[in-house]
Amino acid sequence: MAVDSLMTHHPTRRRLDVSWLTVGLCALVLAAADGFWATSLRGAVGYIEATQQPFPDWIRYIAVMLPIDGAAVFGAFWLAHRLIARRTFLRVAAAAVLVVVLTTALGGAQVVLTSVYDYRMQANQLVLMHRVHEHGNVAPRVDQGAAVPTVVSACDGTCSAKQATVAVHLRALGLVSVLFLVTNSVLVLWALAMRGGRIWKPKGGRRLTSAP
Amino acid sequence: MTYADHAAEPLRRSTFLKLGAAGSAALALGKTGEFVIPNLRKRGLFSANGVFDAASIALSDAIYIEAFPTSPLIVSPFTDQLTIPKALAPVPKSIYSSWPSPPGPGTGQQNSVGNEVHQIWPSRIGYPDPIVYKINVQVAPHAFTTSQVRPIDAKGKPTVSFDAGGKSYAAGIERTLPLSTIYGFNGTFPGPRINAEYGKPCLVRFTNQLDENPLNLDRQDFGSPDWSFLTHLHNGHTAPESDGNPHYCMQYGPKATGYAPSQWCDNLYLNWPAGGDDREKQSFFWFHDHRMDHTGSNVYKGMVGLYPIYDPKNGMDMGDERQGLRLPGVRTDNADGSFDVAYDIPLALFDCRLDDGVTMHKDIHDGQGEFPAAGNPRTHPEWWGKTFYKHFPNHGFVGDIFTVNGTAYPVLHVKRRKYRFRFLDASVSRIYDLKLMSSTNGPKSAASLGYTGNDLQGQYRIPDGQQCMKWTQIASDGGLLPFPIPRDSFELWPAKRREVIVDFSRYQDGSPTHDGDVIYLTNVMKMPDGRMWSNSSRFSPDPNYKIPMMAIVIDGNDMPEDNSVMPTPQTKLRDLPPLPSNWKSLMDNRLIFEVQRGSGGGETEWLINGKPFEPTTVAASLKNPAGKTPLAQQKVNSFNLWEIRNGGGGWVHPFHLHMEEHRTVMRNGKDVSVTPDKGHPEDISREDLVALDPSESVIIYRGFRDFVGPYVAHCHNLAHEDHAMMFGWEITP
Repeated sequence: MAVDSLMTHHPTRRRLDVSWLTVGLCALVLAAADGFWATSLRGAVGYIEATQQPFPDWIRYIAVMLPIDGAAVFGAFWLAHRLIARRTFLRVAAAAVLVVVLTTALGGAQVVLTSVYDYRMQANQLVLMHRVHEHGNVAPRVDQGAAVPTVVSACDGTCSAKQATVAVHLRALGLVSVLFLVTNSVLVLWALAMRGGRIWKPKGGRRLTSAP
Repeated sequence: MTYADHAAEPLRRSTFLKLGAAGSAALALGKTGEFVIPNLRKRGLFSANGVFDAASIALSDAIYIEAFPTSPLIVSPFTDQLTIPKALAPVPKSIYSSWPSPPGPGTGQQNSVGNEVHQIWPSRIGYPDPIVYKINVQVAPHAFTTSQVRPIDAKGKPTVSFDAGGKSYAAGIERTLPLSTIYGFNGTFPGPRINAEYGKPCLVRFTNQLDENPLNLDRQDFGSPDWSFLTHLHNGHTAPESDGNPHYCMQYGPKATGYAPSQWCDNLYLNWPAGGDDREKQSFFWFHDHRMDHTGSNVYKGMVGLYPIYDPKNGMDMGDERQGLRLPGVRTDNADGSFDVAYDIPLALFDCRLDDGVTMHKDIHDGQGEFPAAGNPRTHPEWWGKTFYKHFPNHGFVGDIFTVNGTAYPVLHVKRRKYRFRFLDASVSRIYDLKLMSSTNGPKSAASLGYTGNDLQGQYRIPDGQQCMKWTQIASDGGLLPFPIPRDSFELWPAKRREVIVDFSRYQDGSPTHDGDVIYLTNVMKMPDGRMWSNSSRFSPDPNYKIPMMAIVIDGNDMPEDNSVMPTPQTKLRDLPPLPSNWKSLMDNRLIFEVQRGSGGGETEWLINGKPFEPTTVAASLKNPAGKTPLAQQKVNSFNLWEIRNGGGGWVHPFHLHMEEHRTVMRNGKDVSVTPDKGHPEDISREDLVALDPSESVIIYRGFRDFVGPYVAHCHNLAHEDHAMMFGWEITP
């Protein structure tokens, strides 16, 4: 409301009478959906000790991301409001696109942070595993006369295991980005439809308005 | 557009949008309920956490991309005879006494390292000196079939093939399979069969000869890279030095992952029931490799042996159908001291994949430099038709060719009488669900029926297959059941054993069998990857998935002599050791172990209580209801409750605990000590593997008797075991 008030009284800016219900609905469904993918992704490639109770993790994700997504949705509406003066279909569409882009970026950033944390934990575990299951004291054998390729990789053992783990996280990030984008697009359209296309409050307190 | 325009039709537009949104949401929810919920239920994932597990599985499938070859189609199945291993002959005392290091009870006599002693020599329990066997671990060739094969691709279409020299053969040309290289006990797969008896200890000297390769066989890129071995008698009541477990051998004995080439060890199998209690007697062991980190690759490479054990006390189950329980078996005592039992047949099931020459060999183990001669990552056309293995498959490893006793799609000729079959699942990950079926039109290749991809697994189907006989199950992992269980089908999880009696004189409807009738041992569990089934009798049977694994042909119309008796469900076989009346009072202090998917790209995918296997450490329990996290240490001759939980992720786990059998007392919080769970009827017996469905929790009661020292518990999906899903525990004095 503070933002609203600020804008209302700024002499050079247009009034932003956003529908808070629309903001809340968008933020809730996006946080829930992105949280579902992020939590599931962690179950697929994340660090095990952080993935054992996915349902409570999901609730936590929603709790953390709801205000952030709410701010992103509000920001997107504000930006659309700033960029397009008239209440046209274009402004609604721009707002929707901005919401999708911003929330997808935020979800992606959250996954990146989680992946970095998980990778660090997994890398530590790989080092531990390598020490415990040291293959060096049981050097591989080859039959006499067997040809052994002379090109030896500079990255083997723990290094190659770490590389494989990074590759998995990168593939996962690519996949979840696409999932976020598609899911968020569908859900934003759905949320706007549920609100009857209403993003902004009616001018001057008049009832309405739907998307043109 | 003006406000007036809006005002003319404000309700219609917004209402239309709202109704559309609400309708699409309702439709989506309805479809979810219709398709997703049954699917989740079928897989045991219908729970708050299970929904996420299911999504994790789907994401895993998209992220971890793995290619497996399609094995060439065996053109003439059910023509090779089933191999039934004969009893291994013992080594005469006159010979083993003259060995440079003869077996014996003295310090340094247990292994070639000279640093161990047998914890209990038979004389200490009033038993005679052991019967001595010698088994050499050898490199050898093995043929899975003598049939011609037709190379096919994942679409079931004819494709190119190769030979060892790199020459390629055009699609459609039928070929003879090259021999696969195995590491085998005495160079065979399956290895020797030791017919043992309670009260007569056996000592097996296992000698590593894997450094000898006189035929210059290509070892390919699996099998322990240092050619070491470690043999475990699954699940003998055995002292740690003879148990063949990594928690022991990394700290004692060889103090390495296994016994190296030219080393030997004497595994002493006392054939003594736990606590000297006859009710603890078992009936079918098997021995297999247990080398740390490479159990799967060594077992897949052939290190499997059979060890039926008979109970001569009062003639109860001594392989003579005229005595005791009169179970099928005609015993012949051989001059060399061994004995064979006719009509009593071990059946070791094993699935494999053969290289197609075009699938990339790429594995985390290559990055560790374990198989330098292979030069991976690369394709290996020179290995076309030989066994293909992947050490670290993200979805587990299953084969597309099913074998019985080392032969793909064999035939067994039987007489019109009763037989005892001892089933063993020696596969890396595959679970079977077995039925006896007849088919008018016989097997058709899955490729000819239009199947592709994973649906080609098993190669053949019997589309018109109908169940024609029932099983009478008499034993599980832990030996004879209290009472027989008549069954239409039974599941066989990795490393589990199930013993059944089948009467081949008549069908289940009472009509007689005739000469030439064919009955198929049929697998009806569809398991496209190593994670779990997609269809089975217990959940959602696929009527089209009927894979004939072995043809059983009736020979003759006469009724040969049969002195065996088919036990009825009321026939008492072997009493269960009793549960103490106060077992529930132990619940709060139980030890809790949760098997978990580790989700790494490296070698830490499988964990227990969040930790990878650490061979020198005793694991700690999760916090139990008493608020404690006790170490997995038990006083000798004590008993306790242990809980094994499946940490989810949509995987099933056959969880194995060494050294003694257990009884399942609770499953998913329900007391099953009297009435077993419908899906797990053997919960009423003694077992050494806990079958954990997705997200299941099982509480078992077991003892820790007679021996002290380090043991292990682990998942017997060997891809899991080799990648850290194991923990060490110990028995203290």
